[in-house]
Formats: sequence, structure tokens, C-alpha cells
Amino acid sequence: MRILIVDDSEIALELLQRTLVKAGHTVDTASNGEEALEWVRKGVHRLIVSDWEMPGMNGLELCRKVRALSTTYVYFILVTSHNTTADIVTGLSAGADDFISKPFNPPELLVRVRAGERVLSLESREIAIFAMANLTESRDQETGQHLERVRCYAQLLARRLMDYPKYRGKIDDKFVRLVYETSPLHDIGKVAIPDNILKKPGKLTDEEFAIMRTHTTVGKAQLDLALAKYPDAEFLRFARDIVACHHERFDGTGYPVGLAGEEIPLCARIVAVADVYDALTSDRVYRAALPHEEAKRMIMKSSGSHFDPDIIDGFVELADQFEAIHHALADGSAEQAPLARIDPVVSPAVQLATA
Amino acid sequence: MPELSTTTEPQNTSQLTTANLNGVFDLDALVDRCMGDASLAAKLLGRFGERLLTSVAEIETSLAAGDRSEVLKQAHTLKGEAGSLSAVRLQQAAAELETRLRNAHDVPDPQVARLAAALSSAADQCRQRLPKALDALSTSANQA
Repeated sequence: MRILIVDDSEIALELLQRTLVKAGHTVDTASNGEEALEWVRKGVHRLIVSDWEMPGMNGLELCRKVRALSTTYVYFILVTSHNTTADIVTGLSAGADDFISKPFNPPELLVRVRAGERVLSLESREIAIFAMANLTESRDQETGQHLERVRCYAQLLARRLMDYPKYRGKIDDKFVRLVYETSPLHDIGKVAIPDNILKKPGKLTDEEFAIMRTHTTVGKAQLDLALAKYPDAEFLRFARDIVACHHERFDGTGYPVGLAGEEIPLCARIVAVADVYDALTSDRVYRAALPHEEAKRMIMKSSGSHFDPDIIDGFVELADQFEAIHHALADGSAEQAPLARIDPVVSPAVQLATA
Repeated sequence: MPELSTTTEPQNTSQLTTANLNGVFDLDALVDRCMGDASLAAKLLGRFGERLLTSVAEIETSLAAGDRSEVLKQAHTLKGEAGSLSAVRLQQAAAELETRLRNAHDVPDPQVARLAAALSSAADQCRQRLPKALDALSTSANQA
């Protein structure tokens, strides 16, 4: 990883540099904030380690400027002898990601840098997933912010279910995050559906509908291939389950397999509700969007038939938030990156991907 | 911040530990910070030693001019470098002066002067022990 280190002390720079280079990183140095900003404008570093107190621009100001200036997320570590809670809050408010106490200890520095790399790789992955999903959706003229809304709905539902005793141990923060990341892929199999069917303004014939339904199996096949290659990649497994099963119905009358109840992976049962709510509340060529209350009523009516009743319980509790997301992320709205307000844990990369 | 424990490599450090430095330098910690590279430690410590007299003189000048904010900055910088090089007593003396100036704007002058004097004396000790420290480091580097 290419790292920028910033310190007014030449000795500190040399020590930091040695440690990082020895661990296999490429390092550039700046001895003050202005120099650092020149590097930042070039945009070649995704991780910065900066001293807090420096003459001229200090580490906090530098961090704020990096946040304002960078188009991609830069992981910012402050090196500091300020380590009271108040100092940490100040640093975090300026946008710092982590702290290293001064004088630094090499193993600690490397551990914190590794943590940063992990965060950055997660975010790169997220961007890649979302870009892939968007590519599919770009063929479908009706979708707009569909993916963004669906992932928000799905995340809300997953987080709500986490509090139900029944799902304790089954849903954790990681599950919620994976649902958020992979739910936009639910229709990725539509790449294989010909335009005359995908974009047909009227009702599909039985034959056309049969082809349309293959988007679940085609998508599943692709993700199974990827999974065979990377069997440990949990996000691929989530994506596969969602893609394959988001049209299954709780009573076993869905497609492609006709799985019922808990045979349908939980993540897919969640996405099914999110996807249908969004479809109902969006305009279609053949009908106008239904009002929230009407959509809510229809979904509640399908509890136990189309949908998992537990998830519908969650949906009913969260209905106001669904409506809020529906409005905040309305198609054609000029909102940029509104997710930060709805969900403060959403990572900057996601804001980037939606901007 | 939670401190992570350092896994200290036992080799090449015995003569550093036994070098009689009266606690002025913690050479083991310094070599650890240099990823076990004693010659780098010697190089950085030597460079620090060359500038030490000037650094202390600058603090004394600012103090004489009554420029407390400048003293504060200079003491902070010296604390940082002394800390990086594990010149533990000097680090502590600089930290005391810095903390005093930072926390109270109405510290009576004699008190500041006393802390500044303690800092100068810690710096003198550093310079006295420096050749011995450099010897120990170069012996360690040669054995490595």
C-alpha cells in the first residue's frame, strides 16, 4: 500500500518510514501540512499517517482538508501524545479514523495500518459490487434509485430482526452489512434477458415470462461459478442466495424452485419484502406508483403467503421509516448521498457510489 | 489508546541493557522502534545529539524573550524527538515544561524557569551519556 506520512520531525519521519517500508509499504513523506496537501491533490495515497501537532497546519486541519479534497476515501491515522477521551473525540470529529500514541511502537503502527487496509478493501469491494449491479440496472429504464432504496429497506429489516429473540445468533452486524452490500445484486441475472422482454411495455406472455424468470437461475449460475473459485467469500454466498431466491414465496408458490418457509435463505426472504415494497411504490409503464399506505396494506395481506410473517412484523414496525426512505430516495430527486442522514453507519464509499 | 505489547527480540540487546546509561536513554526501546536496526538507531541518535545544544539554546532564548507560546512549541517538538529516541529523562523534562505552560497561563516565572533549568540539565545528561550510548549501539550493530 502506498502511504503518506506527515511529521515536522525528520527523525520521526525516518522512523515511521523505516517501519512501514520494512513491512512492505511504499512511503512518501511530507514535513508539513501544505506539503501533504500537494500529495493529496495528486490522489495517490489511500492511507495517511500524520502527526497531530505541527507548526502551521496541524494534523486536525490537515485531516479536515483531506476529507474536503479527496474524491476517494482516505484512511487517516493521527499520531499523538493527546490521548484523553476529549482529544479522541476532537480527532474523530475532524474525521480521523484511528490514533497511534506517541512515541509510536512499530507493531502497534503496523496493526493499525493493517486495520486501515482492511477497511479500505471492504470499501473497494463495495464499490465494485455496486458498480456491477448498476450496470445491470442501466438497461432497465424504470429503475432509477431502485437499488439504493432496496438496500436501505433490506438493511432496516435485517437490523430490526436482529432484536427478535428468534434471530439472535443468526443475524449480527456482519449479516446486516452483507445484506446491505449484496442486495443491490438481486436482479443481476437480468443481463441475460433480451431487450424485447426486459423492456416490453405491456404484459409478458407466458413464454416471455418463463424467460424473464430465468434471471434468477442465470444469476445464480454465475455466482456459483465465482463461489467455486472463492469458497470463503461470504458476500458471494449472500449474493448467490439473494439472486437465486428473492422470487421464492413463503408458501412455496414462488420461483425458480418453489422453496418454502425457512428453506428460503433468510437474506432472500428479507430482500423479497424490500424489492416488492419498492416495486409497488414505484411507477410502472402499466400503472402509477401506489401510495405508501396502499403498498403497506398489500404487503401485510401477503404475510404468510408471499412473505415470512416475522419479516412482515418488522416491516409493520418500520413502515414509517420505509416511507421516509421512499421519499428521500425518490426517483429524479436531486438528493445526493442522502444515506448519511438516514443511516450514519453507512460508509463514505457508499456515499461515493451513490453520488 | 490501548497499548499493544511489543514483542522484543532478545538478541543484540543484552549489551544495550547493561550499558551504564543511568536511565538517560532506553536503548532497547529505541532499537525496537528502529525494527532492530541498531545502526539506524545510532545514526538518528547522533543526529539528535548534534542539534540538541541548539534546541535547548532556542528554548532558553524564547524564555528570555518572554515568548511563552514559542517555548511551548519548542518544548513540544523536543519532547516528541526525545520520545522517538527514547531519551526518557529529557522527554519527561520537556513534557513537564510543556504541560505546565499549556495548562496554566499564569504560572509564576520562577516555576517555569525551574522547569526550564531541569530541561537544560536533562539535555546535558543526554549529551554526556551520548558517546557511551553510541558505542553500545555500534557494538550491537557490529555483532548483528
